[in-house]
Amino acid sequence: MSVSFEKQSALLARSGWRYELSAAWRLAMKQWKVELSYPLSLLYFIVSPFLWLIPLLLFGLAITGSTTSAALGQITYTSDWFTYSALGFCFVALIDTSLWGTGMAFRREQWVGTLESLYATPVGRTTILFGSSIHNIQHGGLGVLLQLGAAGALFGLQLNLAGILPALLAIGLMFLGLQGVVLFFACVVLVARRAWMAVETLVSAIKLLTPMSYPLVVLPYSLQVIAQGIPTYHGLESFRQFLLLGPFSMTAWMSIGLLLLLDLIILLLGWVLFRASDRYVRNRASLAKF
Amino acid sequence: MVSLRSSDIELDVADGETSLLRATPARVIDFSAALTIAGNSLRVSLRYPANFIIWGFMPILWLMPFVFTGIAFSGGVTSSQFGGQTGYADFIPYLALGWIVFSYVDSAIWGVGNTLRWYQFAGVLEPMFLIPAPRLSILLGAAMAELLTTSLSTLILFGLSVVLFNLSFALTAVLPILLLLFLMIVAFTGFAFAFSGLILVFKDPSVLTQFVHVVIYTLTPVNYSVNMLPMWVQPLSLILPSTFAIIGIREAALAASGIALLWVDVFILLILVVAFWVVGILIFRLAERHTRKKGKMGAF
Repeated sequence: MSVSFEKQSALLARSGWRYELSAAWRLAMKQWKVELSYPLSLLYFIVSPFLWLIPLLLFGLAITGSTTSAALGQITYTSDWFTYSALGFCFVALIDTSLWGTGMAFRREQWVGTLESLYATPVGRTTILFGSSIHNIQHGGLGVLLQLGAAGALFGLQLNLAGILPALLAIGLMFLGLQGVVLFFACVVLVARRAWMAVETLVSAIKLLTPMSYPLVVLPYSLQVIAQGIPTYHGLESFRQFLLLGPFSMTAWMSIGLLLLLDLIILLLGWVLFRASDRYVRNRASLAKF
Repeated sequence: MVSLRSSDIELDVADGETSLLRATPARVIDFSAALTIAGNSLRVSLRYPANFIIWGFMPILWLMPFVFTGIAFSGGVTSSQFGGQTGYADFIPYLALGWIVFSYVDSAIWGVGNTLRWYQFAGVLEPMFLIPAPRLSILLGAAMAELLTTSLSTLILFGLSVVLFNLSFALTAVLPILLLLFLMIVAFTGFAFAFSGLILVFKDPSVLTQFVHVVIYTLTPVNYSVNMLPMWVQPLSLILPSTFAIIGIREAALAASGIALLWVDVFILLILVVAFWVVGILIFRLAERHTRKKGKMGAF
């Protein structure tokens, strides 16, 4: 296909947030096409959110013998451990999708030999990550809907529907904060390559500190302090409280305020680190090395 | 190490094969080649020593949420309800042992099962398939290397469990535990053959691996007893070597049952070893033939 010089120049001269947004959207769609081209992906996407929830539910039933726990009721705002854990699980599944999907985006391109081509496209480097994030939000969001739908249909999950909008706000702010973490992961991929190790360690640590099915008070004190400094903890607590207690929970709104502050700090740090490692890798011409 | 000079190989143009290839007997598995491949895999693994440490600590991070959940739901470190279900009211050692044993299952699925895909990513799958040794030797070699690296990581996990949860058992339990663990690992090597075949056909290992992992994890009594599963699912759990290994190891470690009481578990595991190897080899061969016929060996 031949493209005239003028057209090429016009394409390369494009700039502005609209073009970057359009490129990010196309990258997200490209990722859907890649995923759906594997026949098992679609099946797994439908059943996996529910499959991963089962071991936790069976363990809870083995411990309590029912879907309520008096001990949990004494240290949280509900004794319904099933709803408490199911909401926590959905939220943590979103964190997983976001961190793994976007954090490993560069590494996947490197594996299939398209990282340099992608780097040569006339879009910002952060747009490439943003495109992956859009895809992961769609992928993870659909997964959560399937999960909550299945939990509601099969086990009668009880939610306060008036809290849905602020709960979505909590998810949105949590995703914003995670973009900073993802930028950090991308730095590790670019510089150290064996990214899965860093991603796996950090994702597991974040998931431990994001109390999916237990309140923070059961953690040792030192871990409680660390958990207060990560956006996923505040995101999950506000999300769960809005959906269980409704939109007027004061502690949930306080968590939202803290989440906003943490988002700003983490995003700024992630962006600075990403710029520095991008420059470092290109200066050393080590982009395609394994 | 064997060195080969080009003059050692007599090229027979008419047959399109070398005397070396003709001299190589047809075998299901070449243990010598498997050992060489295991050595090579270990050399690659040793290039990243941090992996051993990371994989030693990682399962603790996966186990701890269950420990904290148990504490939050029961209000302590024991649960009479859990004791009624499993026979062990103290759920923390129960969980720790389950996770220690399951780390070997993890290794069979993620490490051995995905070997061919990692070779494909690194661009060496086709050269590996051209070596004059049965393909299963490649997987057996990977399994041997994985056994060593996983054992090192598991030792770290075990040490952490001793320190954090006071996990302890009598020295007399060591032999039965090692026997049950060994049989389970051998059986899952057969499973890894089948799984590698499926990855050759379906290509995308992430989805398939996660799917198989979550299904086996749910069916294996890592965090709860088999009777917690719905009745119609329980038979599936009972065809997994990990179920009998975990039940037997818990009996040996936590209930101090001697080998005499564990012979049923050992016997069933022996049957499963044979069954998993026969089925595993068959599935791998079928998958390999299918992929070669379609010309998709190197395709992503």
